[in-house]
Amino acid sequence: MNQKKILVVTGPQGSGNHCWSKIFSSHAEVCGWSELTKKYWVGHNQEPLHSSWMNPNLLYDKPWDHEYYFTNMSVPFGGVVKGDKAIPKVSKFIEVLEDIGFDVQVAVTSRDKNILDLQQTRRWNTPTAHEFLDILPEIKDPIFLSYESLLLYKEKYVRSLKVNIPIDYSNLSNIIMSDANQKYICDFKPTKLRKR
Amino acid sequence: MKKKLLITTGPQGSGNHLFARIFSQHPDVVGWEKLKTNYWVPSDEEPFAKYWVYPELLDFPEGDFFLANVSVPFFYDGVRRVPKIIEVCHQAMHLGYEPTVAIIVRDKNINSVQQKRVGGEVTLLTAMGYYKSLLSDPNIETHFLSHESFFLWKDDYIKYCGDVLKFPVTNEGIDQFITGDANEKYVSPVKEHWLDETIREGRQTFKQRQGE
Repeated sequence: MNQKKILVVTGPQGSGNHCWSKIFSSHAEVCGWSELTKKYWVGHNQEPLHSSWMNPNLLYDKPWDHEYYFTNMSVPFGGVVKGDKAIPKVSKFIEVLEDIGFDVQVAVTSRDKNILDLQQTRRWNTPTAHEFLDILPEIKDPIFLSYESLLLYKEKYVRSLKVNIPIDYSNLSNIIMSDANQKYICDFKPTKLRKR
Repeated sequence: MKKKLLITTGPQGSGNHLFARIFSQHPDVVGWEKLKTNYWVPSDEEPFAKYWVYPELLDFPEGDFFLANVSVPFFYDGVRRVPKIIEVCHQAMHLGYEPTVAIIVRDKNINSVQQKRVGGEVTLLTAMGYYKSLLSDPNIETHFLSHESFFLWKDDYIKYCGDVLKFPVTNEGIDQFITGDANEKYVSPVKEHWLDETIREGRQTFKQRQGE
């Protein structure tokens, strides 16, 4: 029997977690974040494995009756405005999945760090990307997902990633129809030539 | 094991010099030496420059790993051209070398603004058109490099790129290239976005959302 496969996508708040979740949850054979494929936005506290992020041992109690799984963890999750901010136990989460017998692939999301800082500050009053940087060393051999590459090269880029679950490409262009970076970009007019 | 040719290429202003430097750092790599000591070097002084115009002349010095870089389009001897990357790859295969192409990506909004400012026109579409042909060639192994991922994840991202490209990389000396983020000057705050409040509400507990 083939080993069950799970793709775990994780990354800083605002780095494309929802966008990638829609893409990786879209294939009929993948048990992922199906609610997000029907709505524009759903809170991370409704992600199917959300309850296991802080208590990964709960993963042992799941039925796991599919061949392919997808999950997404934003780090941190929970706002600093209302409620408590929390850091998912990513490495323990992966360890438990491997113990259950999964072939686990971990993908880390990226987006321009200047935009990340501005967006996180606007929403949560403070940049939070460093919270993810603190846990990155605990993740062994992740692949990296680039939001900017996704927008520019679309299906070609996603195919190049060689993720361990099937992907439905038919709806990809709808998922990435808008460019969330565009509103942050301004023209830059140098006042003098800086020579190094 | 076949000798390897890594070609890093991107639209003008996407980070060609940056990634050429990074992949030239490892002592086992025959790369763009001049870039290690100069902040900027014209593209037609890159060691493989003439082959982008005359691929039939392709020749390799001693070594096992070679790094070449070219933007699309690029200037050679004062003339703007689209480099013949596909032909260089086929010529390299013909000579018994294993070519791999890594396409550099930078945020398309920033890349366009920079091209307009520096060169007076946006050439991103020229590059995209050429890369479409390149990506359609089933004999050429092609990957992507992200400018933004490098500045965010630094050493971890370079290690990942080395693994994916099967090319020797080192993090030594990379710090000198990450003192400044070239994107920063193009990014400005957005006061409020329509989704912000929805997301903040979603971060409340179920009890809080029900109005307690």
